Amino acid sequence: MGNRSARPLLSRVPAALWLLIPVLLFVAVFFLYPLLRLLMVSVPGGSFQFYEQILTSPVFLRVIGETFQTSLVVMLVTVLIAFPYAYAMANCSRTTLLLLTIALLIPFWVSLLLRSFSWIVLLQNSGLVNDMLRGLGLIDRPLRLIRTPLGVAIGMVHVLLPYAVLPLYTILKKIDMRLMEASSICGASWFHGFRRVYLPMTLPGIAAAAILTFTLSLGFYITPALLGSPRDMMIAQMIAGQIQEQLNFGLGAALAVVLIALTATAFGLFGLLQMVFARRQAKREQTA
Amino acid sequence: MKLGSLPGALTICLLAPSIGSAETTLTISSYGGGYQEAQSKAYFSPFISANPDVLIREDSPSSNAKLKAMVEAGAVDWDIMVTDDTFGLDSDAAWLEPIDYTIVNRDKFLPGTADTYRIAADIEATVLAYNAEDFAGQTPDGLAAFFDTETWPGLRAAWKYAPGGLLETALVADGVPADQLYPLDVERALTKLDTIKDDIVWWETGAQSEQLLSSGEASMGLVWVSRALSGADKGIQIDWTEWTSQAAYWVVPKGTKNKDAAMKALEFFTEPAQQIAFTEFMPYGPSNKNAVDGVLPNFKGNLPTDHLEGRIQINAEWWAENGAAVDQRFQEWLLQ
Amino acid sequence: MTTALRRILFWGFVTLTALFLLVPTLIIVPMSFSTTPQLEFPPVGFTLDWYGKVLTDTAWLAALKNSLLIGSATAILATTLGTAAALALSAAEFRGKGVILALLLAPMVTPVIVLGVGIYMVFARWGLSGTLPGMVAAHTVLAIPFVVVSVMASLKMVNANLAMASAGLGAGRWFTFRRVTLPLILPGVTSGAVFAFITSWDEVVVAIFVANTETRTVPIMIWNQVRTNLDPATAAVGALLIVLSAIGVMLSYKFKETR
Repeated sequence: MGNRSARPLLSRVPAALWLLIPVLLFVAVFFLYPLLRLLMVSVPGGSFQFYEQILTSPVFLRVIGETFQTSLVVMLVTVLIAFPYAYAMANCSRTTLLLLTIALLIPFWVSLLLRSFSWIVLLQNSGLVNDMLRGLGLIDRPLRLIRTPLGVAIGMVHVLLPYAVLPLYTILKKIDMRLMEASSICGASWFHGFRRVYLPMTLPGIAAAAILTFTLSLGFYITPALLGSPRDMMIAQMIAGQIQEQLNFGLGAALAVVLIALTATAFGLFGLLQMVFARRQAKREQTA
Repeated sequence: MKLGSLPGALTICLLAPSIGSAETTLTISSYGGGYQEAQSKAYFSPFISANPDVLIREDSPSSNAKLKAMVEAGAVDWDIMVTDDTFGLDSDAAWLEPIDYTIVNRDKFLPGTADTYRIAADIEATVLAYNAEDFAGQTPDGLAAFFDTETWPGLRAAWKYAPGGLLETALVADGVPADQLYPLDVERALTKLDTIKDDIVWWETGAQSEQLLSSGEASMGLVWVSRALSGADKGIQIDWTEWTSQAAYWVVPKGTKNKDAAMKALEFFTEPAQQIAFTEFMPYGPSNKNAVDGVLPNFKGNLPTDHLEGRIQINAEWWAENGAAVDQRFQEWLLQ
Repeated sequence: MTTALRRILFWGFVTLTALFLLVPTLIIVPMSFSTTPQLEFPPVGFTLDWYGKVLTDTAWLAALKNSLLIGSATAILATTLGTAAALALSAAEFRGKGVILALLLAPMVTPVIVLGVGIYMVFARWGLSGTLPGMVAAHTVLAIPFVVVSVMASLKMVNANLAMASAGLGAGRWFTFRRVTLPLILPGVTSGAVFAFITSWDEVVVAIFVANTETRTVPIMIWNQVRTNLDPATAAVGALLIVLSAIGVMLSYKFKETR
């Protein structure tokens, strides 16, 4: 090191911190500033007219409400499907684990755009799903799947499933199955053991999967745009529409701020929930 | 094409865009799908053959709003765009370059198809198309069938675009004579549409309308003629009793760097030879009066000009004045 | 319920889930061979024409070139910035570290549509709309979190004493980094770079707002196609992308193995 006299100054701030400056500048310019700009555009001249418009118009409130509802349903279904899958991954042979992992990761690596595209083909009236249902004699007229909230939910669950399975799997594989065996030896039924012993231990995984799927759902754009109908819009489509079709930047920006706020609130609520779980868990361990 | 030649083609074409010695690249945005492919064959390819110093880059779908946004942002990326009746009027001066009639010959156009900011590309029609299989030999007779889901069961495909002729259709079906439509009674039209609102599936691009009909999802739809015809092998038929007439227009966005080249291209695209070649692929009429007699017989019987008695004309001036307010009301209605 | 029945039901459900994951992804491949211009499954006939059409179409090839260019530049930029950040964050304890880490990871949880619209508004003013540098900058923001996470994870496993020993032996900081730390964290850096590339390669929402006709990427082309012209050509592009992704996945696993 050449210049020793500079050292005392530098050593007060660990030298490594200088490495942070470029990335912080970059993130400030290309991430924080655009978000700040949105906030500014949404309140032109300090007026909250656009927020007023959103909060007083039944149309916008309906879209926000439906976004919430869709996200909630998608979250529940995704976690419900993901749980057995993650359980299987955590308790199976190496070969099965490999197969299940491949099935999980292939869609993960294929563009979401392309998967929405196949769902269009599968869900249309003359598509595979309707053909199969008809072949099985379950329906005689094709079901309306595409361009409905159901179609959107199917596409979204498909996209989000890996996001729910992976955090669940990391937790489930750590759980010692001997605990379950012990409870069944003590005479408890399988279901009782599952509910009282196994499930509580998986709560952190379930919470992580739920928060991830819910918050990602709130901002979905491509899947509802391709599989949904303009009548059941989600908030992201509304934002894109205001910017690209109506050229109403202020309103679009205000809706974007609302979406960020909803996402942050959801994160906050789930964080609280997780803290409550953690506390309960700690109490339980104390009393045990 | 054999599989073996693919890697070679890939390498050549990867390099091609940078090797090209063309001096001007014209970017043209159109509706996409078969329509744009026809334009590409009839207009774009002959033009680049005749002008080796010009390259044409295609984009789709075109969008009036996107053009406006580009001009406002000062980032004009398109040199030519295809648009509908409601755009390119004198009230849209802020977004468009005036057509340069020292380059484009104004006299060759049919009356009313050459304006200050736009020239017609072709004359089109939106028709009532239906899936014959769904109605067991019955044929609808007029636009009222679109609203009668008892007699004609099934879903209805409609363009999610207020000025696209839907409101006019609703009013005609509700008994308003075609020559007394304007000023439009928007609320009456929406009330009529309310009666089938749950049965409507919306399309936003021509490809979607075609998919809706040919996949059997919708039994009936208001679609562009060309889209109805390309579903013919799936049993899609057209009821020509009443139809709304439209045109496609060429416009040039304000601030394009290639204004002169764009005007030259437009003059070329609207020449009889090109417009006649276009009728080989599309059931649309020419805007050049010298091309009218040369229209190819490929779509005889399904050309808008064969059914003039059932034509409902869209009043573009009325839409220019009231379009914004009506569109807002339409968007609200959609989400109600 | 008997144990056997429960097992059958359970594994039946898991198999169905696996099929649900795989089928919609994989049917893209057979659809691309269909001879009919309408998209159907099961497909009709067999042809390679759609591949020929796509691979000789200058628009698709220009988009492919853009995607590769933007993806590589994003990978380089995001890996450099992200690795530096990860090194700094792992090397020292200081106040506000949590906040900085949260800030760097925030783009991962921000709805992309919000970021797209925000970037659209500022890029128009800065003249970055529709430019390659603009696309790279936007994608780098999205890619940095993946690099930071990946490099920090591998730094956790590196023994800090090693670097200290090297410094104690009189080696310079740069020398220590290049000869001691970097080789140890290389797997993390590489997988971060792969993630960064994939992030850009797959990204469509921000690109919708930033790209123009000249700088449009493969996802933008697919987005336009899906909305205007549903034909097997798009499926052919999809099939090619699946093959490319598969190669990418295999490469990244190779790197992991050598770790």
